[in-house]
Amino acid sequence: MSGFSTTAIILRRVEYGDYDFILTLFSRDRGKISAIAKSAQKSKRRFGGILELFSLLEIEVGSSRSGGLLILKEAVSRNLFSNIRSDIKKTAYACYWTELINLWLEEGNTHPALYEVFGYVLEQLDRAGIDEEPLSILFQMRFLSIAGLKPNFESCANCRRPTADIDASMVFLSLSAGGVICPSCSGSRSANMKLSKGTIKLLQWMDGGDITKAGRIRFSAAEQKESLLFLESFIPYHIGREPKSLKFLKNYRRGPL
Amino acid sequence: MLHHPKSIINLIRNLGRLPGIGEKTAERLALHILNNPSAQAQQLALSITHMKESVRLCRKCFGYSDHELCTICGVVSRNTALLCVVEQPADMTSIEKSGGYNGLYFILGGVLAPMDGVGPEHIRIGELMKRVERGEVKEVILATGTHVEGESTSAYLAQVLRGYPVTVSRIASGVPVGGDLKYVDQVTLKKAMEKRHAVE
Repeated sequence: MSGFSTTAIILRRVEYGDYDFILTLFSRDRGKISAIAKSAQKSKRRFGGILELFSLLEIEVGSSRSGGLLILKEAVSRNLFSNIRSDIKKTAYACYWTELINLWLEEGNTHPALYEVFGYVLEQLDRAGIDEEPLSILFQMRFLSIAGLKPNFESCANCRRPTADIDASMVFLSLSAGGVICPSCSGSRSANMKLSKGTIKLLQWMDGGDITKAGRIRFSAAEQKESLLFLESFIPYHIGREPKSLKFLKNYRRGPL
Repeated sequence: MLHHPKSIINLIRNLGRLPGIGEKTAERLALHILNNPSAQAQQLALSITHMKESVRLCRKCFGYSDHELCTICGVVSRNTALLCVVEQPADMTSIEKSGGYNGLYFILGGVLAPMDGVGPEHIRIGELMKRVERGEVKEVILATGTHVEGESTSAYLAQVLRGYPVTVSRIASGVPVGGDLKYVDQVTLKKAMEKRHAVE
């Protein structure tokens, strides 16, 4: 891979030796990439304060002679989302989304739709356009859809009976079946969660509605709580592990210390 | 390296494990030790083992100390109403070297890092609260790093300290003294403009 320029968001920054950083970046044009930022720990002049988590950068990278890690040659900040880092709750949510993307994405695959959603939620989080909880619901629903892990809300995952025909306000869901389970099948499949039909409609809107109008969607406290509980159980189950920052977030919700 | 006797190779390997020391530097250091009087080598070895045996954490600030209280907490002339919270002992040393602070310190032992699984229970936030509860401290200066984890830890501490009768402040960010504005990075410059102060 020869040199190229793109916009990218920093997913991870690891100190490498005494001078360098190894960055994991989510780029618009190349998907997930790793690059070394030489002397970035010591020299503040070259990358001065912009190689931080969630920073949206305009980057220029080149390949090394040995064909190993890409080398970050230049970086200009487009948005550092400074308000996120000065708020622990915002930081915890941004870390969760970032870790989720980092866990799921494989290097070399581009995902412009996910890149756009990620950029959008970070921007909204930074300027407090939408509250953290609905924003997280929005991100998680879109993430599931893009990752091909979208929960089946339309019909029973076992017998295909339409959800609309289920005569109950609360609907059973099974993590292993990947969606709704009707009352007659709930014995045969492990139906371990419940959602109201109203919450399901809101979740469907968050997945398919006009993202620029997401701020207008109002969740009641109960709808918000059950949405987060469902999504934060569904995603770790289907990606095969619980992100560390999700554990942090759950602890934070219980109250600081 | 292989042409050296086994004992020298052994020392080179051990020195090479130190941060910032590669094989060539380790070899140079080993040969330097070899070529100097035995007394010097013994002194070096003794000072390393003595340090490992005697250094512990200060009971009050959790900095390094040879005694129960460190050389800062044990000094009566320091301003006990000021408490500067830093991430690591090295940060305390940097502030001390600046000569611009006469209060006491508290070493957190890290910062909150959600993606690394570091939560409030993994650093000394509980101990900090206990220290503040004792009532002597009037101002807590949050001097964690200005990276994402440092800033968010500072925000978290400000939140948990809200219920205590103390002033909470954050160290300033700005243009380095003697610096030329054209070489200052945009983030620092932006902060310097935002936090500008009136000239008396």
